[in-house]
Order: sequence, then structure tokens, then C-alpha cells
Amino acid sequence: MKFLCVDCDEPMKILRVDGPSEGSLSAVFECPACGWKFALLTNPWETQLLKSLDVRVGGKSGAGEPMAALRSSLSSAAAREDSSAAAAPAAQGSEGAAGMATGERPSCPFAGMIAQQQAAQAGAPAGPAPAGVVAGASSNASGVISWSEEARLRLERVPSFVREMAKNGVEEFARSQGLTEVTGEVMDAARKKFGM
Amino acid sequence: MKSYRDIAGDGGSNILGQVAEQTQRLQARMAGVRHSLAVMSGKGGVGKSAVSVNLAAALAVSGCRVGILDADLNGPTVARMLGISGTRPILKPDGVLPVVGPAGLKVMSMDLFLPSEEAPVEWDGPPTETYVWRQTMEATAVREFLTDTLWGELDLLIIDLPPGSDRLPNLYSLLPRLSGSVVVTLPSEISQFVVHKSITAARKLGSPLLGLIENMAGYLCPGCETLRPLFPTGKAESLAARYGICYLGSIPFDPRLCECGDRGVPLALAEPESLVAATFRDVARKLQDSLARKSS
Repeated sequence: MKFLCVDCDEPMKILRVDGPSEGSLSAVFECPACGWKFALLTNPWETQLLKSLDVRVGGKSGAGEPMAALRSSLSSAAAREDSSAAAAPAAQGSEGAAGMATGERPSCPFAGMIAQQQAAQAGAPAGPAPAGVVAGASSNASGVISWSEEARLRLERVPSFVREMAKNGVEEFARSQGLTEVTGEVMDAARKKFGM
Repeated sequence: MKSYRDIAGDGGSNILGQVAEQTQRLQARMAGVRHSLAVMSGKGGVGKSAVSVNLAAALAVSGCRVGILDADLNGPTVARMLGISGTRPILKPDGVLPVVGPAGLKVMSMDLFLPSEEAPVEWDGPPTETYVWRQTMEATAVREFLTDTLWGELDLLIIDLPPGSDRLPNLYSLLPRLSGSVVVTLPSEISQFVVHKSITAARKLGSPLLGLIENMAGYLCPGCETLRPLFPTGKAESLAARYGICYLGSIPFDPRLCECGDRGVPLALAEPESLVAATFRDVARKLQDSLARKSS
């Protein structure tokens, strides 16, 4: 796809790309002649199609990590890799640093969350918040938790037989961090904390 | 007003360049692979994977360096048949190491990335209207398997295709230098009804058809080693003759083929004295001759 400034009959140049955020990419184009700008905004399917083609709006430098598209797109891959990293912490920087170790299949991806909940019920501390999540000044021990649209859609993808447990676990985590809303970032942090 | 063709570039994303770069990396990776061979049928359930695995084993035992790519992302069985299901590939900075199976077979399969036997392939993406992007994602996955697996130097890479007469054209668009394909069929007319379509698709592409294998050609009694017909005989051979394809052989239905697959050892290795193993060795020899003629 190419963009043309009709008034100047000049091809538009890409200025910046933001996102994806809530499934949408925004790419801002500018006419090099008159400075007129517009933004191309993708819907979730268009964003996913670009991701599936393994191409980047705005350009891509280098080959990236091996099998990056596959590994980042498999919904169960993160659980496997996090699980293996936890089980066999390899020395960083050494040859053959393993992102995927050999070994047996990981156990239930929710095992970490279950253990955390059991520890919480037994009165054990929740632990520090992972980097990237800003904790509230005090815990939101009994507060109501709202869910952003993105987080709600992600929860819908959790298998139904564990969805309630996953929801409770993420909300528990949010409360322990003094948060009142579960967003995609909060879910990522909870996932990391529970070793998923 | 300028037209699309009047404008050089696309404003900075260089999408076409990114796609071209993907193609170049794939070609560079395949430079160490002497021959690549698709095992296809069009029809499901004819035993493509069992044929792929046992043929690969027979070739490996004869001294070939063989790799297998299980391109059936949603029903991967090759890793299980080789006893390496559940083993994870190791990520290196420049690629992913294939998992090594029996007889030194190098294997890459979606099965090696899934968390459990029960887990289907699920992609992160919009949960509705997945038909918009799912096939594209799967094509990218196959491309990455080909491009990013550290195959090393191979005499032959066998690509076990899923059912569907569209599968070879899709693979061919990624791998135009594919050495050729082998068609697997059953003796039944219904199987050959579908296989006709795959053969036609291959001929339209100009992709060489290196042979036809008839699977489940008769029931081999493991007790008395007598071969009895399961279907009317001779149709696969006449199908091959009709299209001018080399008839590579007929593999009898031996229950031990399934048992060995379930155990994770190809019958060609587990029971080398069996009729099935001998047949696979014969097919392997004919295939090596075809590939050698193609190279010369």
C-alpha cells in the first residue's frame, strides 16, 4: 500500500508508528512537500494479519530472533518458555543460551497461581510487584476490581474450566498491588509472577 | 496524479523488501540441503506420516543425512512416531536446533512447541473471524520452520504435508526449488479420487513427481507372514502409469507399523527383517536413484 498527497502529487512518508494498543496500530504519514499528515489506524484483524505475515509497518531491521513470529504468536508458548526458564536458569551470555530447554513437558501452567493462592490463604506475603507494574500506596484488600476491554477479551481466551480461577488469581494479584483495574499489563505481570 | 507504479517505495515500511528478505533467508538456510522432498497425498489417513518416517529411517540407515519437517501443524505425529514428542528444541542465536531422533534423523515439528499432548495449536489474536488471518499465520510458521531450523548439511529434507491438494502449491510458493514430491495413496478408488487432484496440482506447478507409493496394500499377517488383499489390487500402479509417475512400491498393512509408531520407533528400524522394512529400503533405493538422475 502506498499513500499519495493528492494536492502535491507526492508520495507520503511514514513519520512514526505506535502500538499495537488494544489491537490497533497507528501509522502517521506526512507529505514531504506540504507537511500534511494523516494516520492509518488498523483494526485488530488488520493488525493480526501484519503480525501473521511477520512484517512491520515502519520497517524492520535485521532478522530478529529465530522463529520469532511462531513463538510470540502461539498462545501456549509463553507458558512453556517461562516454565522452562524457571526450571533451568541457564547462564546468560553463554553460547547456546536456551530460550527453550530440552526436557519433559511443563506441568499445569496454573500451578504457580494455585500455589500463590494457597500461600495467600495461609497468610504468606504476596511478594514484590514485578517491574513494569506500579503498585498503589496501599493494598486494595477488599476493593472492587474493574477489567479493561483488552483484559476482558484476553480472559475470554482462557479455557472455560479454569477461567474463574484465572480471574480470581489475577484480581487477587491486582488487589495485592493496590490496583483497582485489571489491564493487559496487569495480566502480563500476573502471568509472570505466577510463572505462566 | 501519480499511480502506484509511479511511486518508488512505500513511504518507509518497505513491506515488499521485508518479504523479499524473508525469502532470501529461507534460500540461504536451504543452501545446505541437497534435496527437499514433499510427501503428499491430498487425502487424509493414507499414512503419509508413517511413510515419511519409515522412508526417512530407511534412507538414514543407508547413510543419508536426513531431516524431517512435519508441516502438519494441527495434527503433528512425526515427533511421536520417532519417540521425541515432549522434547523441546534448543534456541540458539542464529536458529533453532532440530531435535535428533533415531538413526540421527533431524526433526522439526509443531508438536515440539505445544505444552501437552492434548493441546491444540492456538494462536494469540482476535478471537473472532480467525479465518481472516489463521492460514497466513500457519504459512508463516512453516516458513519459519524451514528458515530458522539449523538443519546443517542434509542430503534430504522430507516435508510431511498435511491432507489437502492445496498443500503442495502452498509449499512450492515458499520453496520453488523443491526437488519434487512423492504421492501416497491407498489402493481404494476413493483415495485415488482425491490423489488425482494432488497430481494435477503438482503437474500444473511444474513440480516433479518423483514417485507414487501405495500404502496398506494388503494385510500382512504377522503370524504367518501371508499377504492378503484389503482392497482391489493394481489400481495404484495403473494410476502411476497413467500419469507417467514411477511406481515406487506397495507397503503392506502390518499392524506392527502402528505399534511401532505408537512406541516411537519406526518399524523400518525396529524390525529390519520384516517385509515392510524391506519394502521401505527398496523404495528408498529407487528414490535415491531418482534424485541422483535429477541432479546429474
